[in-house]
Amino acid sequence: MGTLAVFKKEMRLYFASPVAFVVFIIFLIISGYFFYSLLLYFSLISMQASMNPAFATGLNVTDGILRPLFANMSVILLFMMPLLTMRLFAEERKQGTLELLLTYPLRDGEVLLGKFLAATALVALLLFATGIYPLLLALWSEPEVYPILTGYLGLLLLGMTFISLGLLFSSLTENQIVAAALAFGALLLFWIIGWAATLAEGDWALLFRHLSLPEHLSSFTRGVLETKDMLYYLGLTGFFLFATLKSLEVRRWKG
Amino acid sequence: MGGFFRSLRERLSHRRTRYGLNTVMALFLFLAIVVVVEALAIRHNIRVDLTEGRRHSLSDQSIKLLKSLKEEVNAVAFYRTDEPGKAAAQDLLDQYDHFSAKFRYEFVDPDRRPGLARRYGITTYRTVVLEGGGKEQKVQGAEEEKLTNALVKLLRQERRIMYFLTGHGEADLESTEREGLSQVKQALTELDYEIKPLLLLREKEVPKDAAVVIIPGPQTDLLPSELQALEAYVKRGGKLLVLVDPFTQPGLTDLLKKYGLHLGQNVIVDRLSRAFGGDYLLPVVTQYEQHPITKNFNLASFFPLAQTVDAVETPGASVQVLGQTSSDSWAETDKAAFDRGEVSFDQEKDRKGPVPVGAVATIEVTSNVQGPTSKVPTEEKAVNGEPSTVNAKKGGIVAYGTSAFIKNTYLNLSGNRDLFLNSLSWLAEEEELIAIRPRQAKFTPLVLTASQARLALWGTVFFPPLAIIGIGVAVAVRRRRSS
Repeated sequence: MGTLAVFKKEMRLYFASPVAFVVFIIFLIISGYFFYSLLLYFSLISMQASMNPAFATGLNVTDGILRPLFANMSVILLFMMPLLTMRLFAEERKQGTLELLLTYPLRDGEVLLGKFLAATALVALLLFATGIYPLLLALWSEPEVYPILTGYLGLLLLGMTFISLGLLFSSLTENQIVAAALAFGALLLFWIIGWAATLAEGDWALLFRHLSLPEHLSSFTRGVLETKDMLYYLGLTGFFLFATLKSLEVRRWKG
Repeated sequence: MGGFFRSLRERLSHRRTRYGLNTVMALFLFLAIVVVVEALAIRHNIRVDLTEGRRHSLSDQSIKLLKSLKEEVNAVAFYRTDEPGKAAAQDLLDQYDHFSAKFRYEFVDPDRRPGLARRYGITTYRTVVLEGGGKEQKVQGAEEEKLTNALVKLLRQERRIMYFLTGHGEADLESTEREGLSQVKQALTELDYEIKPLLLLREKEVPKDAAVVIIPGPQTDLLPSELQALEAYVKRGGKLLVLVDPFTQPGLTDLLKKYGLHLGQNVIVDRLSRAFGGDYLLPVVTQYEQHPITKNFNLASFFPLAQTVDAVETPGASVQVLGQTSSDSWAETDKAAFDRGEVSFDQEKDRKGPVPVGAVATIEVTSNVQGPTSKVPTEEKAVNGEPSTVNAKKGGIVAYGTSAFIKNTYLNLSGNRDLFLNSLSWLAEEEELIAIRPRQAKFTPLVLTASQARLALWGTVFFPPLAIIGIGVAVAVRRRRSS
C-alpha cells in the first residue's frame, strides 16, 4: 500500500514539474532525429542495392535501422536519466520532508520502491512514445516483432539500472545538481569501462567487457535473450537499490 | 598500546560505528551474492534467439562439433580496434564460446602487437587463428562456415593423404626449380595434408587411404593397367585431380571422356593475357561458373600452355565447367604451327573463345562395384564430422588443361594457388563435410518516396515532441484554472 501511495505522489510530482517534460521533449527530438537519419541512410543503401545486386544481401530493416537506433537511444538515456532521478531523495532532504516521509508509517523499502517504480514507469512511457518508429517501419516494410520487443526490454532494463544508481546518489546528497553530476559520472564510468577492454588483455579484457553497461545491451538489440545479460542489469539494479536502502538507514541513525 | 585498544573497543561499541560496520558488511555481502549469481549465470547461460530463422545462432553442425570438443581450442582474432566487421566477428565468437567451455577467444590488434602478429604469421587484418592440439588453422574473415571448417581440420585425428602420381615424367614435388612442385608441397603441408608419391606401375590399385589422387601433368602415357586402377578407384568413390598438358596423354583423355570431361588437344591462345603482361599462351580466367570450388572466387587465374576441357553430359556423371577464358582467346588446333611458334586464328579449324580450361565431374558410384566403403549411408554421418564415410558417396574428378599452373613459377600468381587448393579441398570433401548455409537476414529493402520521407520527418522528429509540449501546456492550464 505504502509503495503505491509513494508511486502516485511521485508520478504527480513528475507531471507537475517541467523537468520530466523537458527530458521527454529532448529525448524524443534526438531519438527522432537518429531514427530519421538512419531511415534515410538505409533508404539510400537500398536504392544502391536495387541498382547493384551484389550489394543486395543482408539488407534488413530490423538490423539496419532498429538495432543501431536502440544503441543510440541507450546513449540518450544515459544523459537523461540522472535528470529524472536527481530530485527523488535530494529534494526531500533539502526541504526536510525526507525525515517526515521516513517517519510516516511507511517502511524505507516501500518509499524506495515507490520512487523507483515511478521513475521506471516514466522510462517505460518514454520508450512507449518511441513506438511510432517501428510502427512507421511496419507501414512500409517488414520489421521483425520479437527483436523489437527484446530491444525495448533491454532498454528498459538498462534504464532501471540507470535509475537505481541515480537513486543512490540522490540519497547521498541534498543538492540535486551534485546528485545528477555524481550519477552521470558513475554511469559514464560504467559505460566507458568497456573501452578499456580493447586495450587490456586476457582476463582483464573479459572483466572490463563484462562490467561495461552497453556491452550487455547488444544481445537484446540483436533479438537474442540471454539470461546472463538480464541478470547483469537486474543484479546491478538490485545492488544499487540495496545500497540506497542502507544509505537511508544510515541517515536515520545518524539523525 | 592498552589505551589504543581501550579507545578502539569504545569506538567499536559506539552505536554509530557498529551500525556503520554493519552497513558496510551488508553491502559487501549483497555485492558478493550479486557477483556469485552473475558468475553462475555466465556459466549456465540460457540463450533464446528470437530473430526470424534464428539467424543469430550457430548451425546444428557447429553446435554439435563444439559440444564434442575434448581439447582446449584458443582462437586469436586479429582485428584492428575499429575494424569493420569486428562486432559481427565478436558476436560469432561469443557463440562459439557459449557452446563450449573448451573454446576461448581473444581479439588482438595486429598494429598494436606486431610481435604477436608476426609469431602467427599474420599478413592481413581480419584473420582468425585457431589453436589446439599443437596445431594451427588460419581463417580469413570470421564466418561460421570457415570457422567450423577450420575447427574440423584442427581436430582431425588422422591426416588426409594426397597421392601424387609418378613414373611418367611428372613434375617433381621436391624440386624448387621453376618446373618443380615444392610450393605445392609446402601449401599442402600447411593445410596439414600428408603427401605421398604414387607409383601405380608397381601397385595393383590405388591405396585405400587416398583422399585425393593428383596426376600432375604426366609426359608419357599411362599404361592400361594404371588407367584401369584409376578407373576402379573413381568408380568406388575415389577423387582425382587431373592436370593434362596439351598434345599429350591419349590414355587419360579417353578415361576422362568416359566421365564427360573432354580434353581438347589444342592450345589456348589468349590476346587478353598480353594486357596482364603475359604471353599469348598464358590465358587468363576471370569468369567462373557457380560451383563450391569457385564460390566467392574473384581472383584471376592464369593457365600457361593450356588446352580446353569441356564438360559434356554423360550418363552416370554430372559435369560442369569451372572457368572460361575471355572472348579474345581461341583454341589453336594446329600443333605443327604451334611447334613452329607461329599461331593465328583460323576460322575453319580453331575454336573461338571463350573456351573452358577446367571442368569437374561428379560420378555416381555404381552399385555393382564392391568398394570397401560404398555401402555406408552417409547423410547423417556427415554432420558428425567424420570424413572417411562421406567419401563413399560419389566419385569426383577435377580436370585442368595444364599442369603448369601449379608449378613453382605460376602457383603463387594471382588466384592460381587458391583455385588449386579449393579444388583439392572440394575433392577431399572437406568443404561438403560442413557446408553451412549462411543465415542471412531477410532482404527487406526500403526505398522511401519523397512523401514517405516527409512523413517520417514530421512523424518522428517533430510530432512526438510537439505532442508532449501540447500535453504539458494542457496540464499547466488545467492546474492554473483549478488553483
